[in-house]
Parts: sequence; structure tokens; C-alpha cells
Amino acid sequence: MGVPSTISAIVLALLLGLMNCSAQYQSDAPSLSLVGNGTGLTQVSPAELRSLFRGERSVWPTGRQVIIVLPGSRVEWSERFSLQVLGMSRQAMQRYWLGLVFQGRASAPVFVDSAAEVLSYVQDHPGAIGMVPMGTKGVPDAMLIKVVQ
Amino acid sequence: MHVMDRPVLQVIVLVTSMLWLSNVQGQVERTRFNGFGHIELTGVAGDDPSAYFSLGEHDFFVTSTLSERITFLGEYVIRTNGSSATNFLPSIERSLVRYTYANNHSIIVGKVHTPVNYWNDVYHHGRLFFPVIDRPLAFSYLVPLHTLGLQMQGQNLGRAKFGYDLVLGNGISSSDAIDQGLDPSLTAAFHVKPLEGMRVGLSYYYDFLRANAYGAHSGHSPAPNVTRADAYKGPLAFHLASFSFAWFTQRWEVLNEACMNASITDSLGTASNWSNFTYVARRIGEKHVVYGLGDVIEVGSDDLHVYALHQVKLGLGYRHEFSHLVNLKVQVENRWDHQAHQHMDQTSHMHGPDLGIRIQLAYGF
Repeated sequence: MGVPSTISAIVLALLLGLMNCSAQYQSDAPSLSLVGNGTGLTQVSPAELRSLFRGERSVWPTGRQVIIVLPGSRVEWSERFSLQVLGMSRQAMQRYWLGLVFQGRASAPVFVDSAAEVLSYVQDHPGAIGMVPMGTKGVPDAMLIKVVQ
Repeated sequence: MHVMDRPVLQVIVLVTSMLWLSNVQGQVERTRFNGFGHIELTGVAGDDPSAYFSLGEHDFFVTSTLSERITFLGEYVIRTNGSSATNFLPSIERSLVRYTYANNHSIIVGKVHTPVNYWNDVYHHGRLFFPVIDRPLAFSYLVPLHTLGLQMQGQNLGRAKFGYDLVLGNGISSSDAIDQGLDPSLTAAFHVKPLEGMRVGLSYYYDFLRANAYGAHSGHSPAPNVTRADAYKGPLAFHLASFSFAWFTQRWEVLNEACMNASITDSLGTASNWSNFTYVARRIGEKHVVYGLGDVIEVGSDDLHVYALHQVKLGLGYRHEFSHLVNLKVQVENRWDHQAHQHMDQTSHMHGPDLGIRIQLAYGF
């Protein structure tokens, strides 16, 4: 194989690698939107997002108590939520939260049965946060909190 | 006898009231009720083999939001007790009010699980959460299960997710109603969570027992070959240092609980005792966990709180998690007891081993 062919092959391999990384980045990008009420937050990192839904914060900068809203087992995207946000299965998430509440180290989250219920609960309860599928209708801009990579 | 004189009926009335309150309009999302329980089948080999079913502790767990920053937690247990006419007695295991005055900082008042180690802080009385069938051996002799008093708590502070628990309260000899003298127990516990699922902690506990009494909620008792009536009844200073390492990942689970105890009397000076529990498990898929455990407790012959005790327990087990609300554990264990006791006018120093199999169905709702 001549030098030009070798260089071409290397460049092609690099390009393919970059494309793969890009595609992987896109597939890892969350397909859920974070909504909140009275949190004082405008954006969070993925690590902060994970920490919030693990119950590692009790009071917002606004002084409001943190209320976590989670999708119940009947919600078809609940498995996607627990895998993408918490890195665990839905059963593991339920086990984690049950254990945390039983320890007395966090207040019980609120489980709801649809994206509409997530929005409704968050709107009605200052301090509440939850996630809904991207593209869910009726999400006020004021409730959206950016997740910045 | 009036119905309210019967402890079990009192608990039924209490639970029914809590269920009704949880359905009162406007309080569904503020008060939460859970229950936990377990049933066991035990088989013991040896000179006197036996096999039997047993009904384990049943735990009624209540949490409620009283205001934006104040919450309540209660844990009420019914367990077997031979001193009751029905063989069951209720008890209040935890009852506390928490005020969160700043993000991740709280003041707690009430009856708590003394936060000396990971196990006592995390697992309480719900066997559903236990990684193995029963508590480590140290919980029957050295670990002060409960404290009634005041606790300052912080958690998830900084990048290392530092946590602290400082407790001032009634001591080992106390009841839930009274403690003699001006000698509160002191607990100082600290932990970090450097990696997700990992918690490393250290604690120190001190109590002065004026008459070496074993309070009902401490969980303490003397060694099996010593009766409470015969135990030392003088003053005793009790020091306990504990180290915990816990790491629970999607594939592996490791928990090690170590403690060193010094019990000091004017009669025999300082007795140095120790205990160590190790649990290692491999999670296979979502529902299957295989594990091994080793547990040892060594109490010296100069100890006047527990008395001489040497126990070793080794076990292998399998845990099947049907869901987050029900699991089945099968555990084969062998226990060696090495105690000084009198047998046919001679001092004997070995009893056991006892090989057994235990099967536990633990559930929550």
C-alpha cells in the first residue's frame, strides 16, 4: 500500500471515528426536559441533574423545600428516565428511593402516571422538579431548566 | 380488661387511624404509610436438630410533612415476645421530628437509630432492605441500637459528599421515659461518599452506665451464659469506635462493619473487645444476588458488660429480588460459639458449631 493510500486510510478512519463519537454523543443526549417551579435554577449539568434526582439536595437557593417528582411504573418512559438520568433500571430506582426514605435521609418523592401529571404537579407545588419527554405540549418556558453538557 | 389496655389492640387502633388520616382530603401527598415484614423457615443441624417457621418483626412506617421544613418519621414494630400473653408486643423503634434549617443540614429530636455505623443508619427494622438475613453479631452486644435525644445532621456536603451526625441523648441503660443521673450518651459520626454507591464512615460513641443496666431499646444483653440478674451492677464507662465501608454498585456489593469497644470498670480495669462483619456479593442481572458473609465478635474475660464471648459465623447465601417490594433469601450458615461456662463441674470453652439453613421472605408495601 502506497503512502497516499495509507494517509487516506488513516484520514478515513479518523473521520469515521469522529462521526461515531458524534453519533454516540447525539444518542446519549437526553430525550427528556427538566421542569421546575421556584427552584432558582436556570441550568444544571448532567452530574447535578443526577445528584438532584438521587435526593442529594434538600433546599433550593430560593429557600423552598426540594420536592422530587418521578414517573411511576405505568409511565412508558419511566425506564428511559431512570437509565438516562440515574444510570439504573426502574426497579433499582424504586429500591433506591424506598431505602432512602426508610433511612429518614430524604423526603419521599411524588410518583405520577403521565407527563401531564408531572407538569401539573410541578406547576402547583413550588419547589417541585420533574422531567417530561422532549416535545411534551404545554410546557411553559419559565419552567424549563436547561441541562448543559 | 379495657381494649386500650391491650398493647396489640392499641397498635391496631393506631395503624387504622393512620390509614384513615392518610386518606383525608388534602393530606394524601403529605402523609405516607408503608409496612414491612418477614417470615422465616429455619433448620438447625447438630445434636438437637430442629426446623420451624417463624413470624418476624412487622414494621409500620409513617412519614409526614408537617410544614415546609419540618417532617415526621415513625417506625412501630410488633415482634414476638414470650413475656406477652399473645407472644407479641409492640414497640416504638423510631419517632422523630426533623427540622431542615439549611440545605442538607437538619436538627432532629426524638428516638433515632444511633448512627454509629452504616448498617444501623441504613437498615433499621425492615428486613426487605437487609442484604443478608440477620444483623451482625455486634448488634446483640456492642452496638447501641437506639438513642432518644437530639441529633444534628448534615449530608451530601461538598464534592466528597461529607456527612456528619452528632447525637446527645439517653444512654444504654435508659428507657424511653427516663434516664438516671446527668450522664447522656454522646455520638459523633462522620462519613464521605467519594464514589457513587460508596460510603466510608467513622464514629465514636461514649456512655457512662451508673449501674451497668441493659435498657430495653439498646439491644444489649450479656453473653448467653450470663443472666442479667447475675451481671455486674456497678459503674461502667462504655467507649465504642466504629469504621464502616460500604460500596453498592450494579454488579458488586461490599459492606464491612468493624468496631472496637473498651468497657472500663474500677473492678477489672479496661476490657478491650472487637467485632467485624464482612459481606461480599455479586449481582447477576436484575434479580439475582449471591453472597458470602463472615462475622466475628471477641469479648474478653475481663469485660463486665457483655462478659466473655467468642462467636464466629460464616455463611453463603442467595437473594432473589422479585421486585423492590419483595425478596427471598436462602442462607446456609455455620456458627461457632466459644464461651466459658460451667458444665458438669468443669469449665468448658467451646460450644457448637451449629450448622443451619435459613430461608426468609421479606416484603414491603
